[in-house]
Amino acid sequence: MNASDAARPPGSVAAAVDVLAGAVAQAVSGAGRAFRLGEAVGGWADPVVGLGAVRVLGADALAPFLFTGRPPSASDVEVVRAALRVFPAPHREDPGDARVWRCRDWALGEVLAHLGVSEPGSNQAAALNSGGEGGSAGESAWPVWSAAVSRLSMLALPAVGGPVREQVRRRRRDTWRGLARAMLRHDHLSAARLARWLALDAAVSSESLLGAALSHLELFTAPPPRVRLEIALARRLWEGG
Amino acid sequence: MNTASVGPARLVCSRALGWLSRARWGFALPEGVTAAQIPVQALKSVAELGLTMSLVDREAVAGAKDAQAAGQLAEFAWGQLDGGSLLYRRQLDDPASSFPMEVYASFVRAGYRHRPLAALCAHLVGLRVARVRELAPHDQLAVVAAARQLGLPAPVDPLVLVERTWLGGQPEPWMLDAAAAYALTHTVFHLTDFGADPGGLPQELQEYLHLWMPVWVDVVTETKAWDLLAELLIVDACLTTPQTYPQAWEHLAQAQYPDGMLPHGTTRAPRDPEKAFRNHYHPTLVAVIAGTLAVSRSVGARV
Repeated sequence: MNASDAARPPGSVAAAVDVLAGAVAQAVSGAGRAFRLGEAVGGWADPVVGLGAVRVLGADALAPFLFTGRPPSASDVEVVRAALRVFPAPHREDPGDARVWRCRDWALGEVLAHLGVSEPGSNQAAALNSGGEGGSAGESAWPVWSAAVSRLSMLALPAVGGPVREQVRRRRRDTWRGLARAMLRHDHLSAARLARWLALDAAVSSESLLGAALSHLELFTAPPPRVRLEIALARRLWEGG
Repeated sequence: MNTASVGPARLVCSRALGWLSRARWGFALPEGVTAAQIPVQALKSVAELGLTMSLVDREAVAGAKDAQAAGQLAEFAWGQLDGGSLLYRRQLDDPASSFPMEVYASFVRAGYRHRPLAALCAHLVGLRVARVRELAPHDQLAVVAAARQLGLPAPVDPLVLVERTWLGGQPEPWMLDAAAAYALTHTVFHLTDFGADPGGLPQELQEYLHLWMPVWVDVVTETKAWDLLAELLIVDACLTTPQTYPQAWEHLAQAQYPDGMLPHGTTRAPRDPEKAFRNHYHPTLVAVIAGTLAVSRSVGARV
């Protein structure tokens, strides 16, 4: 996306997601002025697409607040609440998709709580999560398991714990295998997501490979905004976010 | 050790041996030309046939019919080399080449001997030039392995060489391309003498392969690069603790043609038998080695 694209108000949720992901990636990387979620999505002609973008990015939309320690303003929080009202979690027949949504909402609740914002309902989701959400793919072979945890990268934030994070700590070799597999298959989104998981608890076992993997993704992939966001989050975590 | 791969490995190997027996005309060297005029590629195919059959002979896990077929193929290959005389003449023509010695070593493994050639090899390995050949490190390891097979001193320390190979550098696993993959497989083959001495591969490289081989096997299976997959399965069988890949073996078995030929990759085999032979004899030979070693290691694990 170039500068003129970014300046043009997005006409669809997908385009809005790209714009917001770009803004969050920039903020997480420490570039630009202080991030304000309300400002990032508030100036668009159709406010609904902005809310949709917030819903899609979920907890990641609040990542700049986690990393900078600057709390969200009331209007930032209101944007999140409005997004949850306008776009409740969809019903998904596919258990994998349903699980992703449950985890997405749980992560959002955890991040809001960490930022000092309490949301009704988040406890219930947390109970669901701790009740075994991490277990459904927990014992699968590494290709299946790593693909599943890659889809749950929104849980790879400093404020979020839980069983999936514990699994990744325990199955670090498998996470690495998933990352290498994704790189070889040019599946850059999955690679970036798994790099993010590895970066989250890099102190557990510091691998120099991770820096090489991140640089490779940054320099070789010309990533679209959502991949760029995953890479930026991984880089921030790796460098001591 | 997971023995689920033994069934498909044995099947693939046996079918491949059947195809090679029927297609052995393809290995025949041109007649009425001098040793120097025989194309390297033609000689290489005979060398690979001899190597493969020497390993079937060494491991001794083939059934009676397959063992007999392998023995006949080895005899045929040695006959094509005029009982070693052709290699001897090539070595006389090209003293600097290590190729005749490498080919000869495989046949020595199978019990064949050519004394004048053996004397030439002993002389050449002792020369200063043997220490400074400007070959890729894994190719230099092939020379060291041949010297070892002939009972000669290693011209270069293999542990010094291995550090200069792709595998020895333990690179980022996503940087593996086809050339690096084949270099890696041959590094392992030569260091372990095709699995006869798994301890020949340093422990840290065993650990490196344990970590990343599952990834490479998975991706290579997905891309249906059957020749490379079979080579990787040989690598696995060369490790101190093979991981075995039953699913990869199943895919290999499914990819094999009903007549036993293993295709190189996704390209459909040409109808012209000569072209089909040229394109696909190599993966079929590799399948025999991979199957032989997989079965052999599982037998060893059960003992």
